[in-house]
Amino acid sequence: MSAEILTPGLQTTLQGGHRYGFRHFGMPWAGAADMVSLAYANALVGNAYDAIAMEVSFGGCRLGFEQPAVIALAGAPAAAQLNDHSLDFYRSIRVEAGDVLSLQHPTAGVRTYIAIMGGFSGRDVLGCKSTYLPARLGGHEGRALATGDRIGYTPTTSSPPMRELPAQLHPKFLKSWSLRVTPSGETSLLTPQSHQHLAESVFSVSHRCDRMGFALEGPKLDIASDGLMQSAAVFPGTIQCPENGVPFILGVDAQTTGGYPRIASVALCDQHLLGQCRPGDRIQFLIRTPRQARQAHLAKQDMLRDWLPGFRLC
Amino acid sequence: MNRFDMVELSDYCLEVHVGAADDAQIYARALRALKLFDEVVPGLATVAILYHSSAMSSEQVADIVRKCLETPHAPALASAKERRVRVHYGGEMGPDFSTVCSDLGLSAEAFIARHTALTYHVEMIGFTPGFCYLGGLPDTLNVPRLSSPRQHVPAGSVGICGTYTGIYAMDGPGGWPIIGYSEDIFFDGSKSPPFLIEPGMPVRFEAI
Repeated sequence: MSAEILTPGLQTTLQGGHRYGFRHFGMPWAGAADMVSLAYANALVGNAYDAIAMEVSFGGCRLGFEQPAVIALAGAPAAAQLNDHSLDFYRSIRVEAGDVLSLQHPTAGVRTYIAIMGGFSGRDVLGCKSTYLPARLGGHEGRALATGDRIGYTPTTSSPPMRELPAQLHPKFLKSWSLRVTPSGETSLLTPQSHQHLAESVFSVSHRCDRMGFALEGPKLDIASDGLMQSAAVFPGTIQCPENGVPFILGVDAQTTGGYPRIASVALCDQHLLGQCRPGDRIQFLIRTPRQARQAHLAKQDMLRDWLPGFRLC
Repeated sequence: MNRFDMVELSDYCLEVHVGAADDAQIYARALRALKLFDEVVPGLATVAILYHSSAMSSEQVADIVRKCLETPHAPALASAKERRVRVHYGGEMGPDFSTVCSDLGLSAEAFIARHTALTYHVEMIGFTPGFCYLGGLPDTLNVPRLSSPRQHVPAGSVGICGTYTGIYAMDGPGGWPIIGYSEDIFFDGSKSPPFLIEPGMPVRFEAI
């Protein structure tokens, strides 16, 4: 059983859970940039939350199904059609052999997830099938999907209960984001004025924006750094600031160590939003202590678990 | 920072300062062996512990880490076979070579003679899969990182920064001045181990 890529869009990759446990070899996590949307899409087709789905960046994707299947859409909202009927997000959808799914460009956010009952087939590397593009590993031949690729999925005889996520639980996609952040290892290198900029200014997402992360346009930050910091661990959500004063946030494909001062970290509760920040979107930071951030994480995870029992928000 | 000082890098990561790269490798291995944490990532002077924050508190993590670090650990870096890496210095694939030489007040020949005269040790692998930090560059070859990172550095590029030489095992972004290029394959996800260069391995450069 497989689905054929008729048009891949700007960048469509196979993504599921993170590739945990190998950062000391320099192996980034990869996996879905927006784990909450991935979890909703998978739950709607009866999969484990971290099963492999298609992560479609900026839409523009067409997919033909060669056998019947059950699919669901979640994440960046875009007009979608099955053949010539429009499709809703956040519900189980039965497709038949020969059906064609078309996904237009999203009106906000970046990444839309297409989950399929049984999950898509991907190449296992170190216990995880998510695609890590820079090293060309996992997923489908380690690369973004291309026209003519046929992506297998696990045949399932039983059918999941057809479900729909209540409208009040649909994630909101806007053009501005408030992200909770904590201080990090080198926050004290910021001048008092730059501290204030970080806490109070509005930044915008740069055009350099991908799964590795993005830079923040806005006031330049002053940092007391000699460019010779000893490289140390970084991870998704880490905000680093080079001597040029332009901070950048690391995304889900973040490298494992870095040498630029770590001035803040996006709190775990809001990291899934980083996968939906698009160039030009506005970002404001809400400074929290690590303890406050952990409380916010537990609260958000509990809320999500009403509909996603046992989901681990990370 | 004092030895064993700890700082929270985020709401799910604690970093402990251990002072030296060799210690970071040894302590990281000991902490990883506890199998209690999501990730244990050594830096050049630090070890970062990423933990499941809804299952354990930062205070619990700090206690576990402190107890583990206070236990004596035998030096664990077994001597590995020396790896020779052939490098084209300068040229299109070493775009910062001439700037580095002039900043250091050295001729190209003098730089190459000094860089190839020494044996380096892998003190850390990170930044990207297989990117190795080779310690032991003398002060006379010490340059800072670029003020603005490059978006694309090709696999096989050799850079220097501070007291380190680094090899970019795969294409990706990078902030080190690039002095040359090697045609060796440093990362191959289909091989086991996928990395050509391992922690603790002595490395010598040869100019071609």
